[in-house]
Amino acid sequence: MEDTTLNRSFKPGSGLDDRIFDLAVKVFLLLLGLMAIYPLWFVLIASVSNPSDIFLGRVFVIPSGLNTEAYEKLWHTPKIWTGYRNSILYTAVGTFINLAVTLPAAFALSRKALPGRGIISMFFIFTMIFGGGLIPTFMLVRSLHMVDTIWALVIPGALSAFNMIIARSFFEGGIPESIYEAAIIDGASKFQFFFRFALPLSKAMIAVIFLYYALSHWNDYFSALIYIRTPDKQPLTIIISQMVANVDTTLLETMPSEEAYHLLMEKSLMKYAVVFVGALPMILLYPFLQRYLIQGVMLGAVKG
Amino acid sequence: MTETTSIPLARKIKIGFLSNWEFYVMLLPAIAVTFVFSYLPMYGLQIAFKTTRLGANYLNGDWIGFDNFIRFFNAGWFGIIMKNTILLSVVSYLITFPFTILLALMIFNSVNKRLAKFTQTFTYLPHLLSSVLVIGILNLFCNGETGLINIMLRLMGQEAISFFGRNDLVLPMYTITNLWQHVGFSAIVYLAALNSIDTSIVESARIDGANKFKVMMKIQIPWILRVIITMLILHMGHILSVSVDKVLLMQTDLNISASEVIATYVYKAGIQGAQYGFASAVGLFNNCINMVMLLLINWLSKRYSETSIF
Repeated sequence: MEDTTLNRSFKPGSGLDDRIFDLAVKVFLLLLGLMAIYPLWFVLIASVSNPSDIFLGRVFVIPSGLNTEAYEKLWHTPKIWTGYRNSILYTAVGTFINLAVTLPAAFALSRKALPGRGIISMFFIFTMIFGGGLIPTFMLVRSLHMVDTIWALVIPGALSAFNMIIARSFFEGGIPESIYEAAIIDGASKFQFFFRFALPLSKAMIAVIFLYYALSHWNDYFSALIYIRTPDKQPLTIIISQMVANVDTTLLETMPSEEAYHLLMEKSLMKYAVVFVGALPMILLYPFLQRYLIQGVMLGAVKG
Repeated sequence: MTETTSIPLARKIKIGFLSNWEFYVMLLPAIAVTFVFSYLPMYGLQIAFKTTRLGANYLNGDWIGFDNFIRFFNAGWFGIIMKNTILLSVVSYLITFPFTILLALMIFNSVNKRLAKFTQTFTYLPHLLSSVLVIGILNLFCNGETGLINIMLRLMGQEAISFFGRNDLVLPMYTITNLWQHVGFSAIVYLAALNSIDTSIVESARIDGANKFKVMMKIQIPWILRVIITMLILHMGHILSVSVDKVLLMQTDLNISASEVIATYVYKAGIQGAQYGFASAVGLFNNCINMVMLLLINWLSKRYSETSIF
């Protein structure tokens, strides 16, 4: 993998126009980087600040003190824990099913000699062009009695044709026909070859596919909105949206007092903490994921 | 030798299938899932042409032809949601797109590698966050009384803005969040293209006295032009796709005439309103346009940029 920041030919400029250019680049990058991180930074500092300080406009860059009240409250909010538990469960089970369905199929389709390969590929690719859409899928899932169960979230999307095609082209390029033939002549069955050679040789691709699937489960909101009814089964995304989205200014309108402001600020303090707690897993995992995310873009670009 | 060639074709095919049976077993789960959850819903689309039946025999409604489609085209919402869908998708893309290219060029041309890394790291991160968090953050910034922007406005003696209560702010909010989420991540493709520039070309241009700005305009941008065109063409296939999660989360009763899009309309009519036939018809209309666009784009890109989607 090429380092995308590596750039060999550019040294600091010497002429005046080059120095202006370097400065412009520097200013642009600095501004954009700061603007990109500021929303999350503000959420973090606001969540530990004194609510009235936020309201008085005293919190912009550094927190005013270290107020862990909101986090303590969240710690004792069972909903958050339920959300985390459910999201982890759905992501783990869902991603496992995704890989178990996608990888063997992609491997089989990568064998050029397979009779019917073209037709079977078309069978999958067509679903990228046309589909039944939301309502017929919903009716089907409902008639299979999967509504309000984990299965509604992990089975219907078990195969992403796009991810399978990425995996297929990786298997095509990454597992030479000669290795395959040698292994088969040595008496390995096709299953053995898949588990002992094809999978270990494709770790980079599997990491990317894993990440794509896991992210789509972890961040999924819409499927849960449609299929999950019981509060105890809601994933974190739904819980967060319930805790954050309600914009209630009615309190202020009915009794515009100092007290009402204070109540409102306390509520909004919770919201800052909720959003940060929701983003935390991604922020923590991000340093480990970044490399695979970039690789994923490149894999997708090879055959997108 | 003569024996193998004399085997009839039908038997040869049979042998081909039998000797590869393991591969078909590997394909089986994928085929089963795709058949049930992609192809059966296509069969289920017939409810778009039928009266709605509730319960297990939902496919048994009476045929009503194109009534549902006609009802949709004649509904007052038709023009509004088509306009909103295209506007949100196209405008947010057209604004994000040049920023993406500019960011890639700036990262690539940065003398300070640590600064480049800093900006890359922070611009990629939002791509991992769910729509719920993105709109949640938007909420915290734009909320009526307690949002940061309104706090600042109040301190400056200005009137607070009701961000989620105004039709004219839906598009800017959607676009800005899109920019935040995707600008860094979309730049990766261009960075990779920039990295493949032959350094000797740049070096000789520098020796000939070209300054860095000229190198960027005359070498780097032309070099990635093909990628730019390919990405533009590919995106045209998604012209009717907006993030349904985001729009749904941004929507309020007050801004609905600017934020109702096809996907949210289908969700409300179908899932919330249980008008299954009608909602399916709207969805089918959307899918047909998407399919035509995708096929058109695929043909175009095969022709002009030597890449194809499929």
